[in-house]
Amino acid sequence: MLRRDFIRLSSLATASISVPGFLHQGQQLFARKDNGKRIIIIQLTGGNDGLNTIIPYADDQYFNARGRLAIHQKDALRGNDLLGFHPALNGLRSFYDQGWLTVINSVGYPEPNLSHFRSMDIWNTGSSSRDYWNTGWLGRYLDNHPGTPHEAVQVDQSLSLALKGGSRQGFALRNPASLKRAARSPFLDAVTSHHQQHDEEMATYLYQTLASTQESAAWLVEKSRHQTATASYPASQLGRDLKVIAELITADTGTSVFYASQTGYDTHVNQSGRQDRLLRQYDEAVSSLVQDLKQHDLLRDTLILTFSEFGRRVNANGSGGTDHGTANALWMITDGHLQTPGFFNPPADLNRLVDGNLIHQVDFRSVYASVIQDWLDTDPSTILLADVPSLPLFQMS
Amino acid sequence: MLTPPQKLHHLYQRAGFGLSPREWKRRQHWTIDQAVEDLFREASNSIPLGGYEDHEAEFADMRDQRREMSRQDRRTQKKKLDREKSRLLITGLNRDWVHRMAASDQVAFREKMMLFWHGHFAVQTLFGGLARIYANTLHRHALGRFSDMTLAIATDPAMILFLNNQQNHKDKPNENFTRELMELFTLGRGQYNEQDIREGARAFTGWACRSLQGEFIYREADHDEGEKTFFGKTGNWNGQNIIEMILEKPEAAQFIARKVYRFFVNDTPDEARIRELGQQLYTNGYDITDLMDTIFRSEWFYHPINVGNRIKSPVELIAGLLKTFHGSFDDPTALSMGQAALGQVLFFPPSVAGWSGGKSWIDNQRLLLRLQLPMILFEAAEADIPLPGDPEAVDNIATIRKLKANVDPEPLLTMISGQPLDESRAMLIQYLLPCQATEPLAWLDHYLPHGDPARQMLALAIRICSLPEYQLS
Repeated sequence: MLRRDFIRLSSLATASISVPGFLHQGQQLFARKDNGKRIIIIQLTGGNDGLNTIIPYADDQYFNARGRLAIHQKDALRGNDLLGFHPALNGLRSFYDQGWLTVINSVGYPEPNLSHFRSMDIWNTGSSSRDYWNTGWLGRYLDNHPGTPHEAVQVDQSLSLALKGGSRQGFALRNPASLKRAARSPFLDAVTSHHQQHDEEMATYLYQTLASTQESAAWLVEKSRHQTATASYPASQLGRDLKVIAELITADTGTSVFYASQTGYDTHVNQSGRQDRLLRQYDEAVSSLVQDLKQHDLLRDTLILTFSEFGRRVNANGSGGTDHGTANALWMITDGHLQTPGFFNPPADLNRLVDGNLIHQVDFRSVYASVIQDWLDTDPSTILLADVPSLPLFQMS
Repeated sequence: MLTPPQKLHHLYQRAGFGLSPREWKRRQHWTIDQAVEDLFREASNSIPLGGYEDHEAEFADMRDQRREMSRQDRRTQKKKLDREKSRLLITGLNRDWVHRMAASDQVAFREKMMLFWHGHFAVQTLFGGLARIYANTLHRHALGRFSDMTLAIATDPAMILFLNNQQNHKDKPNENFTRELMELFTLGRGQYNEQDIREGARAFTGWACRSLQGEFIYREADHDEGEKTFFGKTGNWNGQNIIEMILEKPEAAQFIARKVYRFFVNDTPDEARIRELGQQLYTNGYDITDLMDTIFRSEWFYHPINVGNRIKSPVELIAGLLKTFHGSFDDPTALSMGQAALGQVLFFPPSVAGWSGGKSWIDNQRLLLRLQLPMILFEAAEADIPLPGDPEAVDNIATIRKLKANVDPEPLLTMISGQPLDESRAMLIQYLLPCQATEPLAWLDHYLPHGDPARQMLALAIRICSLPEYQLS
């Protein structure tokens, strides 16, 4: 941290709020640690139809199964002979051309669960489908990495299970300014500054959480005040959320994990128009983000990973939609560190199904293991609580 | 050491949702024995949760409109009607349960036990009719024998649907219910093996339900009559035999005692105490009333180490606030949205494992919302409450700005009337906060509105409830 910033922070912290010393959780609170790498997770909520996103247009079985819903080669954006992109994904396709994109097909887990909530919990915790874990994979990363209270930021109204650890948690905000308004009301400032030390551990924990929220909110606003995004972002919610992320990254706030989501992908009826609209919003927002990071020369140090809790049934249903399915395409965007730009593995096997659903080729925990090892510079077994083999996805040197 | 009123305060926080101002005044010099006896007396008079036929008028309107429609439109309308009916039933039931917790003349001990069991035998359902049956299964057995309750849960339609026992067929068993029965409901990991699950699941084949009628049905033709080997014993077992064999293991009693202890006493387990409680539960034939009676009459329950260290769950927090301020919700949807924003919606726990509780209730945003909640509910303060994260919803993320509840400040004001400000503040602190909070908190006076003393006193109480200490029970 620059000395100038430190002075400003100290004056900020002391002038407007007097946080009793014992509420500070160590003085490296705002220090920058890490290898300079960041990850951004984008969650597509509702179960995005991966087969109509990364399209196996060379497979007759795809057209048999999907009928009117199928996207033909002439309409899709060409990737290679076997796979193309949904027509709304111009940005993603251009990242593919630049070598900034790796798509992994058929990512899932054994004994798949078809409930949104349960499957999202499995993805968020990194458990097997038989286990119920109450901490998230990124939360356990935080447990193992003392850092700022805003080490991991979720741009949302509350925190995903993914970011809940045993002893530490991620930091939720819609944007720094609105968080500061809520956290720094005159009353709440007074609550913190009048606090007398408690013997009670839980009360201390609550006061610490409040004080660090107030400090972090002020710090994030202060740091990002002069950052204006260089790219123009679309007016969608995801566009606004990714803009907040870009501003925090360029402001160098000491945050290494970001989390955002876009919902609406549960396309049981009239899928075509809806998925088109959602993927277009996604593509516009992510394109702005990538352009912004690229202009700041930060794309090399940032990994953007997009996933959904499950894919959809291979056969279309009778209402112009698709029902809940299993394995799904997942993709990652960054510049320069991808070992296999393009398509990491073959298209889904549409002839080998279980109950009409895909069998996963890649376990999502292997993707996590690679990200943890190469981007978070951490031993995956401490976070996944098992020896999960990683995949040759990145080359970090 | 706690003073006698502090002990009572603790008892009513844990066995209920605190006391209304009037009941606090009436009871604060009771003895513990007197209070515990009264808990069980009140609980034995509790009646089951009712139906919500008061929405029938709205439905009748919708039905009238339907007569004029085309067949296609009629069908769509009927679907919509059924969905809406189910939603109203379930939000109405949710509100009714919370209003009971908050009732000013009740401790609502049975309702608190139901909340505990809801987190234990966790079920998600969107069907109002089934939710009511399930809630009343919990109601009926909340203080009975755990063995009876487990059997009742195994035949409860909402549970049968939630854990797929409906799909547990003779020719194609589904192990979901049987696995969770042992892992989460009775024994915990390590007390059984995969063969026990497979064989146990066969014993539960044919245990199904008629979901529309909300009835358990035993489909004899779909029940596997073959021999099963469970825990090393071979026989033509049915589901009831399986439950009996599970509960014959003392480990099951230990498992339940631990869960009760962590909910009602302390999230940090005391192994020696849990062992004693588990042995008692096993010897007395899984009698829950006897177990709770022992806990509430024990010395150690009132030890400072077990007091004021538990983060209230969102439902407990809301119910406690309603009780203190004689509050209520006209709109059941508003209550459900508030629960969702805080992370605990009745009839929709995150998974069959229930709510994790403890620190997991808190993140930076939720803590702020919790601290602001009294002002949001009773002073119509601006809120920024997200609508529930419904995966079926379209993408725009809506928020609501207001979440107002009705408030009747009279009983609270009566409790402190005629006292000087310092004295009133001290009385409110004693009534509202765990006993560790001993500061006079005179600084709060700067954050009160000017003018009318009654308004000031109400604002003072609301601000005391906005302190982090109020989050604890």
